Amino acid sequence: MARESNVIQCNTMQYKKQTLHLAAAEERFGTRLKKDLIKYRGLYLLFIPIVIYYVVFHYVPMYGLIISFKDFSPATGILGSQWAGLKHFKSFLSSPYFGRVFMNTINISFWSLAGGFPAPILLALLINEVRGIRYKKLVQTVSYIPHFISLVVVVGMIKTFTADGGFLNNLLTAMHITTGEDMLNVKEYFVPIYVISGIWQGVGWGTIIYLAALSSISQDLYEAAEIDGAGRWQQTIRITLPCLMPTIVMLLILQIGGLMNVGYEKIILMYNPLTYETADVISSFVYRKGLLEASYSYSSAVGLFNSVINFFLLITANYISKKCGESAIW
Amino acid sequence: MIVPAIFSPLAKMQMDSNIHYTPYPPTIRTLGFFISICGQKGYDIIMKKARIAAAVLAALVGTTVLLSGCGNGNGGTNTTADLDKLKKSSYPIDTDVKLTYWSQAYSSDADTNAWNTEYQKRLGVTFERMHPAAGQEVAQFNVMIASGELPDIVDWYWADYVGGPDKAITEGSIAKLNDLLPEYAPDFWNYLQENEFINKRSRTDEGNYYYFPGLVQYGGENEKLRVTAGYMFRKDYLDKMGLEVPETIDDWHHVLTTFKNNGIESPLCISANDVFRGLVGAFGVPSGWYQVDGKVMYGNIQPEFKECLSVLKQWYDEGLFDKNFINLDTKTVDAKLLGGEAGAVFGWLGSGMGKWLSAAKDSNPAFDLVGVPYPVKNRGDVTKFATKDAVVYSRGPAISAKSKHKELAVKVLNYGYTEEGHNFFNFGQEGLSYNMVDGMPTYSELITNNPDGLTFDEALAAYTSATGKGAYVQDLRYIEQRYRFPQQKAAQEVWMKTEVDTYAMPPLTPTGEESQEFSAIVNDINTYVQEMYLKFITGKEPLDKFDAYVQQVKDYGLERATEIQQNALDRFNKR
Repeated sequence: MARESNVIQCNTMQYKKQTLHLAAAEERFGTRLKKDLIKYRGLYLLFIPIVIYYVVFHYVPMYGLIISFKDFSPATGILGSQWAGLKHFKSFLSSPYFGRVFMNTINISFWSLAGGFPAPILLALLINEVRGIRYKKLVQTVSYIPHFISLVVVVGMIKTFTADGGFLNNLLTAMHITTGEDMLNVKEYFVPIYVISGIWQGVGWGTIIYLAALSSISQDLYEAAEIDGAGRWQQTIRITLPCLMPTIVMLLILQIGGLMNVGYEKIILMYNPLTYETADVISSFVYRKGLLEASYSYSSAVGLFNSVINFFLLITANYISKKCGESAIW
Repeated sequence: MIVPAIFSPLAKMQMDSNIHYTPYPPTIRTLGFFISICGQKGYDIIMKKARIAAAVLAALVGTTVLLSGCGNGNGGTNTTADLDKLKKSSYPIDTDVKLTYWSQAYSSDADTNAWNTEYQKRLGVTFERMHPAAGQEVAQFNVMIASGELPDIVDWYWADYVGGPDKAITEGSIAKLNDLLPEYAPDFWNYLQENEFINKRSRTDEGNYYYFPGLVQYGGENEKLRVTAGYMFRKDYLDKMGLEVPETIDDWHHVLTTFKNNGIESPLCISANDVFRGLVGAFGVPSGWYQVDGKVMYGNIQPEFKECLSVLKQWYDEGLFDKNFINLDTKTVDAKLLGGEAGAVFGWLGSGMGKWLSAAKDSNPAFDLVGVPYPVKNRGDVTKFATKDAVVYSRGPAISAKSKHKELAVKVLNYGYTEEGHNFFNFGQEGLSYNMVDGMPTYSELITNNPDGLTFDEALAAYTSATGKGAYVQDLRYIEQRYRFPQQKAAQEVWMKTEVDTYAMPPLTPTGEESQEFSAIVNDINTYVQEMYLKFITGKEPLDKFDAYVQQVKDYGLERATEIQQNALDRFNKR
């Protein structure tokens, strides 16, 4: 009985969706937008600061991108500087450090994604299974805390733990995994330390969006499954995960779009000349070139190069997702 | 104050860095998507929180708008009559103009301390001080230059400006002072005319004057002012173990090994960079550029450097260096030295030796330090390279090309070179921080035995400007009174023995185009050299690869860089 009614419900929803879609297509965009604005006025109001943020910090600066095709000099300003063509791009691609920073960026990014992406999903599923409300809140709060700790402090903790004589280093040395040398001086350890601490920092915060999605899954589905004799494991596999899938896919696409973005702050706080080989990434390279060496045009060119790759990655990921029948951003 | 982000990568880097941890939807479309997956229930939950969040955000946005509304005051131009008056006037200057002043911050209360308050009173001018965040100085300076908005006075290492000081002038960052100095800074100008040695180092190849350098009295006894740091050993350890003060590299090895065998955990507690402050000089080369008979050389690829590396590697393997050799910071050094774990350190006379000696005075009376000569290979030699301050300091205040008060700023910065200003910078206020005793400015009890419990150096910093380099001439009589421990005076004598003045590069001013090419090459080289230096010492790369390393440095364009340096040196010698 229950299963049948569910099927019927689904069909009705699909039907409704189609008709709505048709009806909407007939109206003009302006009218639709107006209706939408009134209906979700609260959400749009909340969205205003984000629009401002993106306009001010992401769209307006795009104008400045033209300096990557110029020899920028502060005296003549952005428009007055001499055109330099693709000089800065060529110079980056032929730089002795290009291959290294490029591969390091991909490497660190890949492992951050491979480790950091599933972690919040797993944690969210686990938190979702916790029955005691108080305990659940406690777990959530505790797991959020690292997100609010200043990066400098986090890196300070990492340095203390991994130093020669640090707690973690001693532990791993006792287990014969490390040799007792300051772990941040060993190039092979840089990426694992970076990724694992990154997961610790972000995992709790990352669960928020999944928990919101989880809260919207209809309890009827679980009831129906229980009646059909599904255990908790089966419910997770057959109901929770499929219902989370759209969220997961969308976040994955977004993260792939940011694959080439490895923030420079944590890197420059953690690396030293001994680990440049695995730790120097495009953004830290841009930081050194642009801010410390004042090669504004050159570093803009590198930044633009980076963004273009991200852009293509995003489009490709979205395209593949759409082709595979999963949801997509557009 | 919102700084509109003009430079995409700069702004982007700052904003995008957290992208991994904040998966927020970037478009309205995405938001719609979220509503659809979260459903009405999720929407309700979000909205409940959103009302609170919206209020907070609105408040925040409001505040930023208000803050960004506060612009600069003090507009207006100078009339000829005003300028005439300024030319003739003495200090304090009769004006109500506020000058904006950008400089590195040395201590949190430096802007409001007794000296600074009196300084502004004597000038008759109020400063609006601005400081970059500690550790971010270079980055913030470059952002400021790129924005084109400079405060009236900017205190910086102008020789490091990409393109050199001449470019800073042609780019419109700072003002050329040639016409202003004789009229508005007669004391500084006269000092330059009387001291060609300083004059030559205070201007560019093209003859442009652009900043007010920190100067020291030089020649003879005055050279003491330039000796500020060196290596020091625990004297009590040397005595206890029956060791002599080491002179040669072999002596050093013997002493350090003995230290190690006697249970001192960190015999040579210096950081990787402290090696370059003189130890490497024992082998006859420095790290970086130097000159031999007018010919420019690069130290880090010379065979002598390889020899140095092999010795350092041996010491490293034998555990003579501190285990945190690579990231050793001053706090660790303090703790280890005072805790008895360190046998030898590199340190400054005042903020190092003086601090350590007075800190240990009561708790550990046996504690003693001795400044050791810069090491050499053969006994009796004098090292070619050591740490010695330049006579003309490369940092100093310059004046923004866009400043509306250039004349006033020049007049203000001239004060340190006047007779009154000279005493005020070096000794503070007469009757308060110093008294004239037989024609010799002598620090008073306020400095030597401060009633508020400040140490000598702290009191100096609060009531004088002598400890920091600024737009004035440092006085020998200050340094003679500052170092109060006999060990400090002895160290000063010992560390003075070096031929570094013959081999060090003078302050060069590369031309604009050359400079950009030069910095691009040198930055690539520096990254590589630094990386390999540590790898060679720690044994992560075998020293057999030294030749390959030299070749790699050459491939990065070393020859071209040397040529550019050579041209600059030739131009300097022709000045």
